[in-house]
Amino acid sequence: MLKYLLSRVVATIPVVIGVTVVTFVVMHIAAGSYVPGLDLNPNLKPEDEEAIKRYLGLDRPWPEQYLTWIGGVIHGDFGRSMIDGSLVSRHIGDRLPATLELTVTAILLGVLISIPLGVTGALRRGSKLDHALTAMSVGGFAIPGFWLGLMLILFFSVQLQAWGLPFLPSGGVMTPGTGGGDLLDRIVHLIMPATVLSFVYLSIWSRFTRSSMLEVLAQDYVRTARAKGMSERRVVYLHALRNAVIPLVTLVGLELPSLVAGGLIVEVVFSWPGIGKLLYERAIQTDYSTVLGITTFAALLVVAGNLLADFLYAFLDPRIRYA
Amino acid sequence: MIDPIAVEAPQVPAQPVPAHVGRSYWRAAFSRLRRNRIGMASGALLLFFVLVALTAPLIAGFITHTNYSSQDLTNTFASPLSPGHLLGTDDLGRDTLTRLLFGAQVSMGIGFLAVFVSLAIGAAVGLVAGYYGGLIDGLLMRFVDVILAIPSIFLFILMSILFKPSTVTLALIIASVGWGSIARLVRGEVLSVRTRDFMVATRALGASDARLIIRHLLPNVLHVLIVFGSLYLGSVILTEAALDFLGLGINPPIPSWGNMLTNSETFFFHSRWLVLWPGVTIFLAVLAANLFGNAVRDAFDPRLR
Amino acid sequence: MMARKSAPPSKAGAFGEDSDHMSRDDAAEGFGQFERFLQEWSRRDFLKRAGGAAAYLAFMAGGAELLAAACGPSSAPTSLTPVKGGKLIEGMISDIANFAVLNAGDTSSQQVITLTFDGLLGIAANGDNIPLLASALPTVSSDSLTFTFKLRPNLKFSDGHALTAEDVVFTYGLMFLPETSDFVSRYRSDLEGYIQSVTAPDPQTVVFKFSKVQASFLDSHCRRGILPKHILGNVTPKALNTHDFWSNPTVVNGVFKFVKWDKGQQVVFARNDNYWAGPSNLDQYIYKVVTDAVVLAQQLKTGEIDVGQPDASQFDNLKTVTTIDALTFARPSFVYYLYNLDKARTSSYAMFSDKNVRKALHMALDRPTMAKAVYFAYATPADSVQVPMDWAYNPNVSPKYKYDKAGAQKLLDDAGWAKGADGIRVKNGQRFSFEINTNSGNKVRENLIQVMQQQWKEIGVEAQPRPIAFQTLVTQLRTTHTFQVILLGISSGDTDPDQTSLWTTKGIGAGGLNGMQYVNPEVDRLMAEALTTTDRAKRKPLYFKIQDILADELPGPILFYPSYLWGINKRVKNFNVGPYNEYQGRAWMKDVFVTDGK
Repeated sequence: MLKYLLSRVVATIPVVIGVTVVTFVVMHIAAGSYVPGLDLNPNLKPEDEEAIKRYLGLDRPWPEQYLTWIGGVIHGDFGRSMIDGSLVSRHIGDRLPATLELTVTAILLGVLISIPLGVTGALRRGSKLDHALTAMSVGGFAIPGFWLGLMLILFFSVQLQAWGLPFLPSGGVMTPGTGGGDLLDRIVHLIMPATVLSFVYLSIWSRFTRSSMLEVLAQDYVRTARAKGMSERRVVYLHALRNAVIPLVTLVGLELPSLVAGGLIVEVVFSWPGIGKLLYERAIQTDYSTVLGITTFAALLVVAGNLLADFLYAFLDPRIRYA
Repeated sequence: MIDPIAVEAPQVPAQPVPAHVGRSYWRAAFSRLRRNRIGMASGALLLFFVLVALTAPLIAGFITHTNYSSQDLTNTFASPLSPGHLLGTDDLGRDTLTRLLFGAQVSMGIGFLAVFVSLAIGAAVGLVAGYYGGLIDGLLMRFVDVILAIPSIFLFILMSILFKPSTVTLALIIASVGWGSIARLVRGEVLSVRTRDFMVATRALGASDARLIIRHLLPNVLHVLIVFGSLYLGSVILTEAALDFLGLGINPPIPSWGNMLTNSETFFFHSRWLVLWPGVTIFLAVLAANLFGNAVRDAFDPRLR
Repeated sequence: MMARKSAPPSKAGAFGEDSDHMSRDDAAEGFGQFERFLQEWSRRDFLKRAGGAAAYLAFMAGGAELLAAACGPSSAPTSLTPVKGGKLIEGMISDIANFAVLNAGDTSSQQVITLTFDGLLGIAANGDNIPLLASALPTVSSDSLTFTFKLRPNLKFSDGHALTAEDVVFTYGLMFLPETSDFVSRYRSDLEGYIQSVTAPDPQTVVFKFSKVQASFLDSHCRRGILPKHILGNVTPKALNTHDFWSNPTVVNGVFKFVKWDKGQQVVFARNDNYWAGPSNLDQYIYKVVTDAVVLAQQLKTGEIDVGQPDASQFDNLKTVTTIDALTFARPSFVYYLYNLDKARTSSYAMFSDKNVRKALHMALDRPTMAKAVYFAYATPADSVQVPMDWAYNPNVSPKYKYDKAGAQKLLDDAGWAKGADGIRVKNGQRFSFEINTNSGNKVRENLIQVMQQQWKEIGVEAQPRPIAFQTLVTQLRTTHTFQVILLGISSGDTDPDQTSLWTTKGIGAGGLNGMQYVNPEVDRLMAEALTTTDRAKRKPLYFKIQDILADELPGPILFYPSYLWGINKRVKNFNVGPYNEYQGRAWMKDVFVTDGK
């Protein structure tokens, strides 16, 4: 197993280097014509520009900048913003919890809803209900997420309020001034964005659960259980369901790398102060270094996550474990 | 929303193919496709959108009599069914229906182009990597790993701010991220096919590498490309609309279904319809593409039912 | 290779704790400042504030004196006794960037800085200077080279430490002394070479000595927040650049103290009991970041925020809400478009060099209708390069232009631009076709260039709208000059009418805003002369002449004066915001109170 683990780590190194090189190169192509601070002070004198460039380290040769960049990344420093010199890592630290709150909730919601939907579809296969559920999943996957979010906001926030009815907040994590301690307040803010984000997961996972369930129900051991006289209920919920859900867990696991980036559009539509929204805002301001820093961070997370998964499988798969 | 590409990509597992993908295989697949009623219906809807995209200027000229940029500042926010404006007008008095028509050009154009380019690059890379193996394979696949590690939506945003997106540039940007999954898929197929007898035999007969790749490997992976491509189209349309909506894609005055939604929220009290039409259109187009894609996949491998 | 787990890093300690400061060079006061929206827009920031110019012009004509008393057209001076206690929540579209007192680049940050740090002087709603830490306006020597300020007695910082002239000397020293040049301040280039010395002959007196006259000193540089020397005095200038103070000002001297900043969500302030004018009525002030203009309007309606500047598109709807006062008044800012007049660029020069052609293009724009459609009528068509509320504004500027399509066509015909087969004019083989750039993400600007495209098409001129990133736009304007026409907005931080940077040869090049490369020796002379004296009576006729020349030559025709739009909950009293003290000075918030004390 050790050999396997080592080989995985070795295979990952070029990817890590590749990611840092790609992001670094892209940044410098972009930043070539960028004069930091220019958009904020049109009176910027050339000497001041030079001072700022020196401060950000933009005047040194590329290889040296790359080494600084890599060195920084190893220590968790993902660079400084070109606009105000703030640390990218600090921004990430500030915003990551909000993103995770959103994406983890969405995934949980997705799982909790897909399982009953999928199971129902499988159990009542071919019925009108099944067809309806399938149609809903297929439809759900075609709905643009930003549009769904927009419509929900317009109805549940704007329209309901215009009619004088209780309504949902249209953005943000919490009501300001509350310090985030009020659980109900946070839930109310979380409902719409998490629903929209989970929508696409739902569509796929419910169908997947359904087909997985069907496969399991067709297995020999299920038939055996029935033949032994076990009640249908026990067959389904005790045996079949458990086995049908396992592949779903694998599929869910596939989504985990998107925990950081996947919520971007929802974050923007619902003004959720997460990493995706930060990247978007900074991109609009052409703050290349922050965008690159965040992208590198996310990519490295993905790579790390894959490596971790490899380790996990090495541990679980006996063929590797005892090799 | 989650990364549409990551979602669809893994859904195409390697299918068992006959020893040589011959005419009978294709014929069987097509006849299965023809019999799939939902598939054919969605295919027809998709074709409808393509036709609209191609004939938009004609329709605008003869039926709606306006261009997508003709403004009428005195008739802003007209409701549907107002004279001359079947679906109403927007904040500058431009006809919504006409803009939807021209938006079809953007979505269909970028959609198909991006899919095509992705397939082309992915196929090329996958074929080369799978055929040559060894160092080339290692390098290419590492590069694919790097591309796939970077969250695609981040990459899109990054590239959009670097390269001013025109229709073609945007398609290329989207394609530049999507080819990775295809390359992996194709490579997988190639690995399973290249050890077959007919391959060994053909090489023994002295065929060159290029000939082997193009004339023998490629046809055998074509079905993978077709299935993936048709499933991928829907995702591309969604991604493109999302980028336009965020202001990072096609910008006004060129209408796209995505950018028609960008400011519809602000104008909600002035016209509730502005939010509705572009979204519905995107939904229908993507639905058609997805259903058709499913039908194509089912046709090529009915076992996946 | 199926399951992927991403491991988020732990928040505490994974990354270095460092402070976020860096100098953000900001336009100095005067017309060098770009619209705030240009920096901070999120994608969904839309229309600029607009307001009913009519209402404003009415009392504008009345004169500054009236305004000085009334302090802005908000809730009329109330006869109610102030209620102590409660909090005020103000909704803002963008978050602040920092508390960099000597470096703030954006108006949001400046707003909170003026809330927490008073300077020697402050600014009234109409732009007049008012004494804050100084007990009165300074005495100025007859040669305008010496300014003497007397501080009020018993000034304190929020921690109880005394505020004396030493702190003033320290603060200004950071901006002009050679030994502090490691500290990056955006105002250094304005003060270096002008200020000779800043001294404190006694703890209550500060003397500024200049080596040459700086006419804008009083209006532009006397409002800088005074920093606590006892906190920052021991920090080396270089280290001061990244000091934590700029994101966490622990000791202040303004109306409110800083409590906390939840990035991207809110900034919380509490009453400063040591404020020189007495403690504020409010206990707390919360600056709440609101996602966009629609949400802001919504939250005004529900009472989630008490005051804010809603979007023009929401304003009409807001006016119907009974719990809110919906106010509009003009802003000291204008929106204009400018031509590239560089002789070396032959294609644009061929199109734009003729003054009559520029007049024709301007006459082809139906600005009143544009104001209605794009600004929802909350902007006024403009004729002068000065804003109406400035003391140097010429109400009878001449010539003025009316919407006259036929007249425009004739001028173009006469200039030799004949209509071609495709409807676009041609002259000497060149089509009258150009690109008009503006900053992307600003819905109003983007709509404006589309409307202008359409209206110019009708007279046979082809304009391609190009929204581009703001940073690129500025680079084009100031450095590369690779543009043909740019649509832009300019905002004024104070009432000094100097526009050297915009219209003179001094403004050409990387330091200025004269991206048009417009050269007019007469304008140069007049503008320079107007800076040699501080006597308004002498300066005024010079500025009048300049306005007339620029209205005739149209190197950068002015389109609109957009208005401020405010929604103020009726429970809020004394919210005396006006054209010049929205972000330029917030000391007036001391008197704000809420009727329910909550």
